[in-house]
Amino acid sequence: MNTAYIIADNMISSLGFNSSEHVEKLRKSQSGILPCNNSSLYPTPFQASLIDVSRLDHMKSDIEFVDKFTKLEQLHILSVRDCLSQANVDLSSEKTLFVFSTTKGNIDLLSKNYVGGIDAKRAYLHEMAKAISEYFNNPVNPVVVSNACISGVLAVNMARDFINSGIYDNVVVTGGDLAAEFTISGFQSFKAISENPCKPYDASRDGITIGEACSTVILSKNANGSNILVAGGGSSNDANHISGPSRTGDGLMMACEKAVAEGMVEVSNIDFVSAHGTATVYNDEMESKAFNWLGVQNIPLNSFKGYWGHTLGAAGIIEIVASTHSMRNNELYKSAGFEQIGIPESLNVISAYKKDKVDIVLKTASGFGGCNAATVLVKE
Amino acid sequence: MSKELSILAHSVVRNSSISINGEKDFTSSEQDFKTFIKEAYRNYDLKYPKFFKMDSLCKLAVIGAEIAIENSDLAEISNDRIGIVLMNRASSLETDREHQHSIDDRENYFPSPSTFVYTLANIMAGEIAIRHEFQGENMCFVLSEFDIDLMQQYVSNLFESGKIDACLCGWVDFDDSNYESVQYIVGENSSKNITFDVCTTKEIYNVK
Repeated sequence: MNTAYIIADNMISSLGFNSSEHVEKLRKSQSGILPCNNSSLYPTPFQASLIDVSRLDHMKSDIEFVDKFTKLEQLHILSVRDCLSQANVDLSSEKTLFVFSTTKGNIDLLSKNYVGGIDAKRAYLHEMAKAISEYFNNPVNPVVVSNACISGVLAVNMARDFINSGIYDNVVVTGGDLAAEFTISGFQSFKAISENPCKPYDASRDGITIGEACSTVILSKNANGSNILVAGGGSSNDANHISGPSRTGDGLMMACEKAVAEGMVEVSNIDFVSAHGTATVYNDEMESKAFNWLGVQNIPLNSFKGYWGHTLGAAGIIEIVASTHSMRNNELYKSAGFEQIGIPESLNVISAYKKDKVDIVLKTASGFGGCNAATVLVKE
Repeated sequence: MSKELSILAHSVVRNSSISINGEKDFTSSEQDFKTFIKEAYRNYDLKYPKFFKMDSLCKLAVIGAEIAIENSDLAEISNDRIGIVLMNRASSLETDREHQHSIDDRENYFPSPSTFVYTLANIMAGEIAIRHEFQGENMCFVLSEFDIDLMQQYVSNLFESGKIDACLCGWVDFDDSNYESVQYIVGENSSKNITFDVCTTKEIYNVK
């Protein structure tokens, strides 16, 4: 049984507050990464992809009891609400589940410099999840997936499993993380952040760009006019190092193989690979090995990180959403920031926007803790 | 056709004591977690120096996993077919507070990569994976309490879809010196083992 359709979606990032605003900019290869000189986030200037605060202030004005929600919760509410305007889903049903994907949630509440009025207990991820699912009158205990940078892909895979096994009719999967001082200072201490906008797979790449985003998909057992299915998924662990990728790409390759097998597709029929592509030297090297091992080296591939940075818990979801628009519009988006190939084994990195058939997509993610995940999306 | 699944072994770590398959195996008079877990490390003779670099959540997870794994026969199972599915309540908040403390004051600003890497809940799964070379499915949930129904559904799905042949499951939580680890290995049926179901898992969890 395979009937997990993606029936509604939203993306919120530096590129806009809905999916069509994002698609418009993806077609023009327009990045949202900008220099940031905000000493409350980091003592020295850095590059980041940030959500437009003045637009958020305007957008959130009609959220009921808006002051009872943190910035990240407000973004989740706006993101889910946009999805509800596209599909008729009964959120008050026992057969509808909320799944949240985040690495750090309301981590800004931990800071002694936090000035908002929200209780510190909402730094607990399940408290954040409950505040949002209750806002939408959902009666089921929400689930939080917090598995580093693969959280979004894992959450979508789990939603697919729960629909296909008949446990739920609809699953709202919503992911978000802020460009918080906590996260930026941590990645800076790792020397993982590039001084320039990130350049996945490029010869001169030297690190990530942090981005903030919130993105939602609703998966349903009913097509509701959609022809995009989450067909298969898989995950793995490198069992090699907690903060460095595998040297061989074995873990990522195994996760992809499971997703491809479950999705009942042939590797050679994949039209597009939406890769993780953080633009650290070692991550992109590892991916080049895994993808050559899998045999997708000639298939058009991109990383969306050049548009909105590494959005952590939102990454898997926003990149799956962007991929579904690739499929619906039959177009391939440039891998922003990429100029000259700089990985040990070659890949077909998309160097310019183009129209092309996109029926089958492989989406991947890898993260701290040695984890990898993959999803196969299929157009009926 | 669903496979018959069993709990091959289980471990419980709480209140300075450790149980294996329901029997008390190690008790310390030491109430302080850091001292207790060091004593447990020596008692079980892990010989794993990396242990001392870990944060408290990972130390708790690694000790609890070690005991459950040691008491399960996984020799016939390929490492890429062994999954790890963990849950907790406080994510990595204990170490999050430590990292936050290092950046709260611009005059005394000392963020450190060796702390920051532990500010993710799933690092405990990564540490267990490295120690035992488990390369199968990974999942880490953060929930208000140990959701035994969710664990049952999620892990059963992984077996039914043919992605795993065994799974380390558990609730491993550490928050402000309160801690609790309940871990168990699920695998295919053998006569001496107990059935993997919600009722049995509740019994394991509720033993004082």
